[in-house]
Amino acid sequence: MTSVNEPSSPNFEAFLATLWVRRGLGVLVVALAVAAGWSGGVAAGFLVLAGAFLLLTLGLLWWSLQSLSGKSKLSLDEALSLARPSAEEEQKQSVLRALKDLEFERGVGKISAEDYQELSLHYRSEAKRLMALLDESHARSKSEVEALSASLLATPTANTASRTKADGKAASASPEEPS
Amino acid sequence: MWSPPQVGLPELGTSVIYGILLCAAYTFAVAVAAGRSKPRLLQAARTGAYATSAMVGFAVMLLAYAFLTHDFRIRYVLRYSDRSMSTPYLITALWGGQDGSLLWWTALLSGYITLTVRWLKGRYRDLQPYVIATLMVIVSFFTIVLIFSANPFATTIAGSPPDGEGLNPLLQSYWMIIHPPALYMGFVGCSVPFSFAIAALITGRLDNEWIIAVRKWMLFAFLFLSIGNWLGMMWAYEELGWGGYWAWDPVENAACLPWFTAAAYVHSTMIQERRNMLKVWNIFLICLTFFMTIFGTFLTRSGLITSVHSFAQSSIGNYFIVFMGLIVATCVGLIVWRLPLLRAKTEIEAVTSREAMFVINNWALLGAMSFIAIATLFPKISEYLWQENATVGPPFFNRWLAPIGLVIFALMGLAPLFGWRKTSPELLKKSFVWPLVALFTGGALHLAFGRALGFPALVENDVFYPGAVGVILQKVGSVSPLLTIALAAFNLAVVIQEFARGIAARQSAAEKRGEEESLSVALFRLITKNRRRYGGYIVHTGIVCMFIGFAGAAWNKDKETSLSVGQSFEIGAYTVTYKGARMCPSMHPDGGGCSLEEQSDVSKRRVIANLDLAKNGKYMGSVSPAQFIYTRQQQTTTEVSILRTFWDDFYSVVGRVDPSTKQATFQLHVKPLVSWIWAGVGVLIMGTLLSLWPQFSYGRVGVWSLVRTASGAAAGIVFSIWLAMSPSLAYAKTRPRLPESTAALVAPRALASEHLGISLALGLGLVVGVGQSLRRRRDFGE
Repeated sequence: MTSVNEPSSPNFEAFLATLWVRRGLGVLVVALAVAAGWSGGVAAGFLVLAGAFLLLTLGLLWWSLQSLSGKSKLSLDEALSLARPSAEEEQKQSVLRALKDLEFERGVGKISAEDYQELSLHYRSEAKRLMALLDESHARSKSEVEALSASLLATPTANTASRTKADGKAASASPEEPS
Repeated sequence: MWSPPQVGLPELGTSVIYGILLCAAYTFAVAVAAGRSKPRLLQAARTGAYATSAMVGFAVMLLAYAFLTHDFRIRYVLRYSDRSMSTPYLITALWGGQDGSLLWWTALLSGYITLTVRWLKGRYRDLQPYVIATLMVIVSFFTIVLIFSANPFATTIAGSPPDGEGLNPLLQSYWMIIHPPALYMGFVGCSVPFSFAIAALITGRLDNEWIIAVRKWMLFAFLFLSIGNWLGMMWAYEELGWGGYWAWDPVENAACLPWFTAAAYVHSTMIQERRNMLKVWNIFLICLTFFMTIFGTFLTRSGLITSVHSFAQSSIGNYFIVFMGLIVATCVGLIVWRLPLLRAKTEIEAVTSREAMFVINNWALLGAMSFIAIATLFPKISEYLWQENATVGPPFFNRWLAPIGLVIFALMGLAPLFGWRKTSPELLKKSFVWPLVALFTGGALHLAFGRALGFPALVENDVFYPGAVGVILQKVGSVSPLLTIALAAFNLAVVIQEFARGIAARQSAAEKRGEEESLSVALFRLITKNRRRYGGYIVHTGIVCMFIGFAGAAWNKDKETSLSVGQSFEIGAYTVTYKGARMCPSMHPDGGGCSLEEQSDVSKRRVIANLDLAKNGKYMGSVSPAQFIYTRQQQTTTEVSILRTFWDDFYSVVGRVDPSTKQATFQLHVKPLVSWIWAGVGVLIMGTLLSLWPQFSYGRVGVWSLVRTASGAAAGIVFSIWLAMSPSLAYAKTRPRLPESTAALVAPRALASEHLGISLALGLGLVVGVGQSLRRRRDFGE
């Protein structure tokens, strides 16, 4: 069973995965390479870069093996990325793009009024059909989410915890505000 | 003083290459598992792909380090460098030979893998595992070739000699520093669309969405194929010294084959997006484009056909044959398996439709590609089938490709005039009026004034073949300048008309909303809201310029002469006066007219001739063709000198120079409209960049991101312009007339290498810009 990282419990991996840390490490490596190149010649700079690539390889392989063995937790970002758009969703996007193109063609006078009417009707009915299909497929998930939210809100501990958290946030956001 | 460690670098490098193969195999296995039943493994596959790329980066850094520390234990370093080479050329030597260039190829592929995997985060969940798996198969193939046939870390048997053999002088050129990486970027870039196609076929997700992702990657590859071929043409024009930019050499042909199929694909994909047709055709084109990149590499490396690129041949052909077989078998098998899903639900309704024009255009592009491929292989085919030695030279290609090229040129202008599905006669009439007026006016003006301006509309041509075909080709060749100019006018009119219609539509819509949109605002908004369409029209404008440049070859003037000092010679409108020659480094106490750099460079002797040029009696400047004699390699290279103008190039090559009398032989060429080709490619690049540019709004992206993206793009555009301008700085310095003794002539390579840092920085800007653009698109789901 996989678990999703809690944003409130950061670990070393999550720290390393943050954008600013990665950027900082990148800048550090380049700075080290430039410094080595400056003091010991261009070759020394390349040696530093080679070392950085080696460390990066080892680190990435370690992470990959951790994921493979199920030891590393799935980040929220990764978990969200597992959600896949359905074929209907993709077709809907395609039809909407075709409609937009059709409008443009009409604007620049590349299509006759009759053809425009016919094609526009065809694309619109196709879009409607796909949207109906999507609504239908989402209906079950929607009701599940609603039920889950309702049960969470109904739990007294969750309610209290969330209220306390919200109060804390409000207090830290405006400490001088009179209560 | 810091001294570099010299322990076990060859062994470490070889181990790293084995490591790459292991890493790629691991990632492949995990990716396939993620695709089959365990989506949770996708994260492991993604990280594995990053690790594989990082390991390739490690190998490249090690090889660069070996070059920089002159580790001549390594055979590849020994063969392609020596201690006298400067740092930029030592780094260039990474791809100067077979083994290193294959590693470089793998490194570029790793760069693409990193970009693709990053871009794929949260997208195309079904396709992702198989995209990664396919890319890993390609990495594995190149790593296997590296391990078993072209290990760049292999050591010499005789131990480490004191100095290396040095890089081929022909490759010690500014253009050669940037041409191979750019061309490889194009070649390698075709791997990404191919991976998507394979993934779509395996998963059966053959809707139109994946093809939109592929289109962007294909455009990116197309951009670099264009840049790479352009730089190759520049190199051939300025370095080989035969007076032309395209010799139909097998390797040149191999480089342009995927360009044709990529161009066909970026057009036909629109039909699938719009009409849900040509699914099989599009998959076929993607597979063919990738196949052509491997086939091109096979031609370049196997030594199958004799070529000017003989510095990169070996016996790795068998590996490529097996890989090409694997590609064909996989593609054909998967297409046949998925045929029921790929069948079109609609069909072309009328010939007077845009999709029909695109299909004809596709066939013409594919026809040109097939013609070039077969003609390139013909000597081998003839040898195999009829045991006859046959040569297919430039005249054959030029004669046959003139009509094919004109058909493609005409279709390029015709397609935008039609609407989708069918075009009514009224709309056709409305669309065709102005372009046809331009066609006939352009043709008539050319016929009337061309000869007086030195560009006659009809040129004389000899019969290449006996019989009717020969006569037809001769007639087409004779009228091809007229047809090219007329069709250029037609195409340009189409582009202008398309912009005018778009602007009018915008202004009319704004008026209906009660707003007012000025011409410039309407133009800006029209382009920014329809970048793909109008970027495409700008690409067409670039191609118009290129065709005009190609037509210039019909008016070339080529002469050979021997001149004494002070003697003059006429060629076309030019009068050439030979002012003398000098040899550098000179033993003369005052330097013998040599510049400081010419005096200090002891790696070669330079024989430089000075020619003054006047056109129609007006002084234009001077050129200094030279011969460089590389002392170490005992190799002589001709250094052409070109005076570029808007209308023509004066191209000079010096042959033998008598040391006592200074009498010299020259090859002189006047080459009309060549600059139009370079400018046309620059326009094409800008149009492609515009098509690739992401669609975003200020509010959604934020100022900082906008600045980052815009600065990257600006750097890219400046890079393109700088590339277009730099040859004139380096080779055709027009300067005031100076006394002979004080003339400090331009050293082409020195000047070019001065600008290398700037170009690399700007190139980096281009890559960063594109990277940022891709990121922006991902973030905002565009």
